[in-house]
Amino acid sequence: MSEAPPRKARPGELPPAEVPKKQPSTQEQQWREPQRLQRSQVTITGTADHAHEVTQATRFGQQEGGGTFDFLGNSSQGIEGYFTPKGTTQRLPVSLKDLSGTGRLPNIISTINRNAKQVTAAGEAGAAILHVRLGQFKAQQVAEFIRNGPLIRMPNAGVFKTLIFDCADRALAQGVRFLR
Amino acid sequence: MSIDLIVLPCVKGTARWSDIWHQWVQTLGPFRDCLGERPALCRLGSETPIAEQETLQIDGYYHFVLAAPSTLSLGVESNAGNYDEQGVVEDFGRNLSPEAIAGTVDCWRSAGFCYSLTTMGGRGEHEPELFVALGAAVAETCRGHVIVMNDVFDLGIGVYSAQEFGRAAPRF
Repeated sequence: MSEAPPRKARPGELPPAEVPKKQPSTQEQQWREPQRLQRSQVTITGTADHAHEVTQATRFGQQEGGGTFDFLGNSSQGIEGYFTPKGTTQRLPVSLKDLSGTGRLPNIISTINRNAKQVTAAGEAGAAILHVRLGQFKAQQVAEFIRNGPLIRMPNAGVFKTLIFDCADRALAQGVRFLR
Repeated sequence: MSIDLIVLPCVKGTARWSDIWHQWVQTLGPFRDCLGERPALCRLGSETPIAEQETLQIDGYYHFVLAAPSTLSLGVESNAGNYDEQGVVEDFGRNLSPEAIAGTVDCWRSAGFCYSLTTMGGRGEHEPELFVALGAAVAETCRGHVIVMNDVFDLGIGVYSAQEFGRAAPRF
């Protein structure tokens, strides 16, 4: 493989700094921003022994107001583990994805679709939460992409109860019913 | 967090499980004991192993039953409706020349499908090595290339041959 100079953005790709300011639409105003309770305590259990896994699970837990994240480990299929929100006995299946390597939002679709199939096969369809790290994009870019792109027509709608996109400036979360 | 790889084949037709398995054993080196005597490949949601000579199915998703703990899964995905081949290779092929990007896209389009590999969070101690070897083995079997989409290997984000990826050091 031969070396090449760094690639410039393709036509149509907007680096975050070039995103035009725009008033949020009524639809966008309905997006729920997860609680940013940095002091919320998150307890990690299970077999997560790598720092970055704990980091994302902890961040997810903090955004949800605290609780316990239990990694499945060896038996995991489709999801990383279960989150029990503080003060409840619920066990919510959660999948954690880091898609911060892509420069093109359309390339997140195949990963989300793939995970949806894995979650379905694991018997967790309908209840799962997908937490996606997308720190290279601003929330407005992601919101517009979802609204105008294929994610809103995802054939796998009904698999994830909630999709959370952890963007450069804030996080977006939304129930799948809204995305349809 | 889970980590995914995509393997872009350069041959038409999906691989047999036994071909991947034997290549995986060769690639693993000192970690081959993690596979056990008879590693099994099962469809996701099932614990029934597929036959060794069975060819992987497009749109099929599989998991492994190994001697060592495993969160690994393998999928075969049709390009149609899932991938913009040009957009994917241009996005992640940051180590490729424009000519190499064009050649890789042509190969992948011609095959019409790709393999996806996933390792889930909470993985076992040697799973990163199993994952690298599996990616290299699948790529070797289909004479293809591995797309690294996260900065979790010493290679960096890019598109690599089976031999290049097989030497990758995981950082997770």
